[in-house]
Amino acid sequence: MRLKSSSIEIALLLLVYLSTLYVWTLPLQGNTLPFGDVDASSHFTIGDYMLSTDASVLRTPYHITFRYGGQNNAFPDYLWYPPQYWTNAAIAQSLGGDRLLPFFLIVALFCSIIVLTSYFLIRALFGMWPALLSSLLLGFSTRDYMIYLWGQWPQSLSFALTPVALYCLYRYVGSYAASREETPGEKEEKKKEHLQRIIYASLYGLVLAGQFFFHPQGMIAAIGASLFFVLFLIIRDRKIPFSFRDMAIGIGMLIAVAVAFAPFNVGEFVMELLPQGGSGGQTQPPQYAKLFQWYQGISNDPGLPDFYFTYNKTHGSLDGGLLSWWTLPLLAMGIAALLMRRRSQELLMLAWLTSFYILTRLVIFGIGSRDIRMFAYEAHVFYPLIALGLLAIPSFFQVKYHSRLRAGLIAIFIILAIVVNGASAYKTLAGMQHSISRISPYQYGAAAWLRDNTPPEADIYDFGTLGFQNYAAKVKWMGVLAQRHFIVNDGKEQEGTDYILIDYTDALALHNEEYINAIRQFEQQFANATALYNQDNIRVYKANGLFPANA
Amino acid sequence: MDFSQPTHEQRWELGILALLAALSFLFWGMAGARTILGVALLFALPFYLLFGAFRLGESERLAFSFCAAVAAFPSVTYWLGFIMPFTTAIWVASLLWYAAAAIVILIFRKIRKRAPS
Repeated sequence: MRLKSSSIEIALLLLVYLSTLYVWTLPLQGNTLPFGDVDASSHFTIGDYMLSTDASVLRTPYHITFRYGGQNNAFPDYLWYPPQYWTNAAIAQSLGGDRLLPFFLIVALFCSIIVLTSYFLIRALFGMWPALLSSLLLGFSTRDYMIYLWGQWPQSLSFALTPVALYCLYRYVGSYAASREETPGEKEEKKKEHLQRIIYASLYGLVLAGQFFFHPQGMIAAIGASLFFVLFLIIRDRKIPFSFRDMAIGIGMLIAVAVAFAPFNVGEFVMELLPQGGSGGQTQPPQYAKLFQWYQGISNDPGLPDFYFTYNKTHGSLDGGLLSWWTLPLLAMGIAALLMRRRSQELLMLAWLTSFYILTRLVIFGIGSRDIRMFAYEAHVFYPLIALGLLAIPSFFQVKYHSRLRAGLIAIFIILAIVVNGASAYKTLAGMQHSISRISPYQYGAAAWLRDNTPPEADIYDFGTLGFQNYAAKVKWMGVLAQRHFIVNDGKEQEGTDYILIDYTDALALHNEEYINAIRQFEQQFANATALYNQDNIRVYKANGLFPANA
Repeated sequence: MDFSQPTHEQRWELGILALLAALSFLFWGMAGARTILGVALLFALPFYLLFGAFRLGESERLAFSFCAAVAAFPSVTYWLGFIMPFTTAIWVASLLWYAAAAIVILIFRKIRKRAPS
């Protein structure tokens, strides 16, 4: 019995995606308690709050209003991002019948879906092997799994839709070019082709709207790549590759859907784009040197680790070493192959690469300060080029060796991808399984008690949870799990403290005597008070004027 | 679209869904399987049916139905959640999208019948 070639392809893709999912869900295997830094907890809480109140949420809930209230410049009390990602999370929680696991499962699915959307585009442009190899590498992409671990989840899904938007545009311009050729055809057939073109134009607008719902950056990246693609086609063919009427349909779809389903967030987005506008749009003086640098001039964000701005660690192995550079020559060859061939599919990839280059250097043009965050899609552009570079190698040799050489190169690629990139990804993601940066079962228990036993607008001061001194991620997670406002240690809000949470668990887990003693000393002031909650080395006291006077 | 005679790709898709649900059950128990099956059947399937009305390839149909599901399904659920309980809104949104898919399929079937082949 012979297997159909499509069956082999589906089986290989399934193998790649299941391996990706296995590695990406390592943090959830054996521990479903929350992880994620910075804004991760906020992406959990809106959906969680919707489900617990069984109602949609329009305004920022009290417990996070001190952090996110006012971030929507157009409607300061309203949600700062469109609600679609958080609603998806709430739906998953409801369908899964659990508060934590379905949320993190859907996040893992959404963050890793780039492996499939990239396959979809690259398969259509260059065939199975470039798509498969590129997707294999994407499954181990440090850029992508780090964003997943840090918790920039909506942004990740938004960027994952870029290949689909670009696919729609590619198919649209292809069918538009075919329709302009003077070929005899049935009137009915022409009508069908026109309808198909309208469908691609409309879908392009709809996918962009989807990107806007999750994070505008993905939409900007897709529009940037689209503009360069159109520009390159105009330069190559000396004619406009679209009809203005079709373009109006696509843009109309984007605007109508965005305004209809995220009406309170469109204004915020527009204000962000304006000079000096928005919270993320602080402009910086032009830095022209960045035009000639890739990472060196960009690594200026104290919130990002150094490896984020090195090629070998982000596209090879976090352990470094010579082998971690193995993709770089292939990337150079891939770019060279694009420049030499210049068919529409190569121009699309070049456009994507050019948009990446420009969007990661926006400050040069005095626009915003979000260029660093645009690095999130570097692997999405690089990895197909690396695969193309590899598969271009046989073209340098005699024809009779092509297929054997190609098979050998593919085998070497797969081995290196697994041994170098895969091993690094596995180590990092498995290391998160029982990391101290995650909420412990004791802390989750205390947060659940606070949710059930304190008033909704209670203000809680946390002393002891890891990073409490600078309001780090775990304290934010405690707040959203308790659905209560956890006070920032800025010396002002402490006046309104209703409850004090004393948490020894992290200090004990670290066996750090100094840390334990500092908490003990702080707790002394409650020596005559009775703890309302006292379990597993976590205690909750009513403030009763004991704090901040003695703090 | 005739589900009594699934295509080669559709058989694979059903198999993959069953495999994903089984693996989720194995790793995370009922909550894992419920999440995968719930997401697939309640909010991805209506869009997959809807895109069946257009002349799209199977991979296009899957990709577009994923995009539409993650963007359009929560959009409707969210706004319904202001006029009814959120958990009810999820089911009502699903019913509405299934109904929308049925209407679009019927309209396109009529158009195709009218058009000379």
